[in-house]
Amino acid sequence: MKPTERDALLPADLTHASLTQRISALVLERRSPLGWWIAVLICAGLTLMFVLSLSVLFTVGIGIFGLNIPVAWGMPILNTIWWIGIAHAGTLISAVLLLTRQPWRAAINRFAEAMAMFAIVCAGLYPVIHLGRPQFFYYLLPYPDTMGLWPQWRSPLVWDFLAISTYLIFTASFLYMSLLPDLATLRDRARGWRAYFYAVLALGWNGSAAHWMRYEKTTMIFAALATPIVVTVTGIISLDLAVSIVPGYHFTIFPPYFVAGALFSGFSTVALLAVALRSLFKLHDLVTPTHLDYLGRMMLLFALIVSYAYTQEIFVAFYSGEDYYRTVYFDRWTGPYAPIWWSMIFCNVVLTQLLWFKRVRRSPMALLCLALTSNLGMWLERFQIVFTSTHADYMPSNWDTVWPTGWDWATYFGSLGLFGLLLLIFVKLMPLISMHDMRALIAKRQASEKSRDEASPGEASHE
Amino acid sequence: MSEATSNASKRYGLLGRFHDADALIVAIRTLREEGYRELEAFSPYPVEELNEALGVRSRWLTVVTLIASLAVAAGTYWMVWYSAAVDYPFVVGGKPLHSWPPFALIAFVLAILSAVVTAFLGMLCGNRLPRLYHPAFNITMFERASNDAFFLLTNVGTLTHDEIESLRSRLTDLGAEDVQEVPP
Repeated sequence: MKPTERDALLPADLTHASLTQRISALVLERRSPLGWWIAVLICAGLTLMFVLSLSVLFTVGIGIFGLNIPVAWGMPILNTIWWIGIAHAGTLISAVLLLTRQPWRAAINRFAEAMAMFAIVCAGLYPVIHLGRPQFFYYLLPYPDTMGLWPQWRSPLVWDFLAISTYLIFTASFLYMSLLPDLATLRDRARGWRAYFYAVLALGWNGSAAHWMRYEKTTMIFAALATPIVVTVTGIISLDLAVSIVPGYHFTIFPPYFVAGALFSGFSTVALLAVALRSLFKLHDLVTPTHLDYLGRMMLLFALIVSYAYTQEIFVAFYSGEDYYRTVYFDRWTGPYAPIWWSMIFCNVVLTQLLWFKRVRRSPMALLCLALTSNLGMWLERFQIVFTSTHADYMPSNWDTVWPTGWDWATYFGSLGLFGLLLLIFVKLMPLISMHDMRALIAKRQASEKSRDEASPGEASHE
Repeated sequence: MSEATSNASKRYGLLGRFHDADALIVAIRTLREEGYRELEAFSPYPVEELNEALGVRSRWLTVVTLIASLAVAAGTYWMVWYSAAVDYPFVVGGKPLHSWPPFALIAFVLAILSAVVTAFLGMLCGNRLPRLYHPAFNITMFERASNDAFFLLTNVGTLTHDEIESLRSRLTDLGAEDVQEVPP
């Protein structure tokens, strides 16, 4: 990497001490900005709505949602797919960018990982909500029961349960481990009850060479595991649909198509959080336009893959020669859900072309808007997959049109509030930028400056 | 008990503070050549050369993780096959009793899960965490080990008073900005 690019990622006067002071002061000293309180208030209200709609759901039953035969999956499953997709970019940033040694991950990996964690929590709740008898969700586990029954291993729903649980445990372990050195920093700087709080959480991390060696080794193992996890989790979720014979679901392209869509919405959400957090906590010099530029490029890359998947899906539907598959497509374009399909194309295919322009990628406002439309577009994509495929399948006597109810929306916006609330609490309790990763980046810059000075003592000042 | 002997028994080691990683690495190499073996180095971010200088190597974590994940994959596959083909044979959707593609998928997912858990717990066990106490935590300047300074802790449990004093001046010669005694 050229030295100028690394310089653009770091403020010129940033030292180890000033970085530690700034980031830990956000947690330990600075009073929360007004925007944080307003956001907490809104998110807490939405979370209460979530609790309320779940209470109604558990007392009244699954009938309060817009679910019916033939659309038996509706909003809960669409939201599971959407939330799990958002989680994936956090994992990819922490793992794949680590393996490929990209310096721009250092400033954004912490909140990307936290985002992944809380998105999985939201994603994991939905299938349980959707069960109808949620108290029996543990039937999916192979435990020694008195009924003498085993889970149905050939069912994608069992794979789903195992994959999402694995993903949750992985993300929690990864997030906590990368927090350990930073918790130690907070422990050493906090006073009073906070010192005890962070001392217990830091588990006695002291930054010895042996600690770091095993830390690095475990990080590399986790990074190597992250890619197969990302591919299996969303791949398996797509198999929930693709393994069936429903036209509109039954495509072999689904696993890679879903993974690309997941990463697209995930990178959009990272960009959204990057823009929001940098202005909320005045981190404009640490999360730079260069970071936004890279995030914009990732959004564009995955938007293009998603667009390609759309064309391939249409091509396969017509090339297969199956009447039912073609009908699904004509129905998507002209049927009752057509506005959803065309809005999806507008958000995911048309609007994202703006990301070809560097000025758009480097503008926080433009990127924020595109991140919102991309997430909306991905939500609409999941909507059209789940609704249009099932509402009209082989038997016309079986056709029906179903729309989400008020409780569907209450649960959905409530889960958005829960996600926001968890994230807002997280950034007040934990450093929202990974201090040890930034320190390593600063040390690299110092080393390269030193070698440049030694190579050409006279010219160094001109660079 | 006289004051001199009680002082000596109260020492755990000498803690030297260094400004940068390079000075710390040079100090470690020199002290090791001079016969000091019980050295601990601390840094605010991972520095690979520190372990080379200390002569510390450890490979078991990767190997144990690999073995654990392979064992869990094999065990899972066996459990799934036994339950679906032997203990409760039940044909669903015309699929064979031994449907290896989904069975392998489940084995793969659980292998990843066991690798994650093994690597994480292995990291904690290898680092002897959680252990909230370390002698160096008694020293105020050690707070900078998680901020911007590098530390070298030399165990002096078996050294005499004079040897400790010569080690102290040796650390200063090697570039330590501050040297302090650490109680046990």
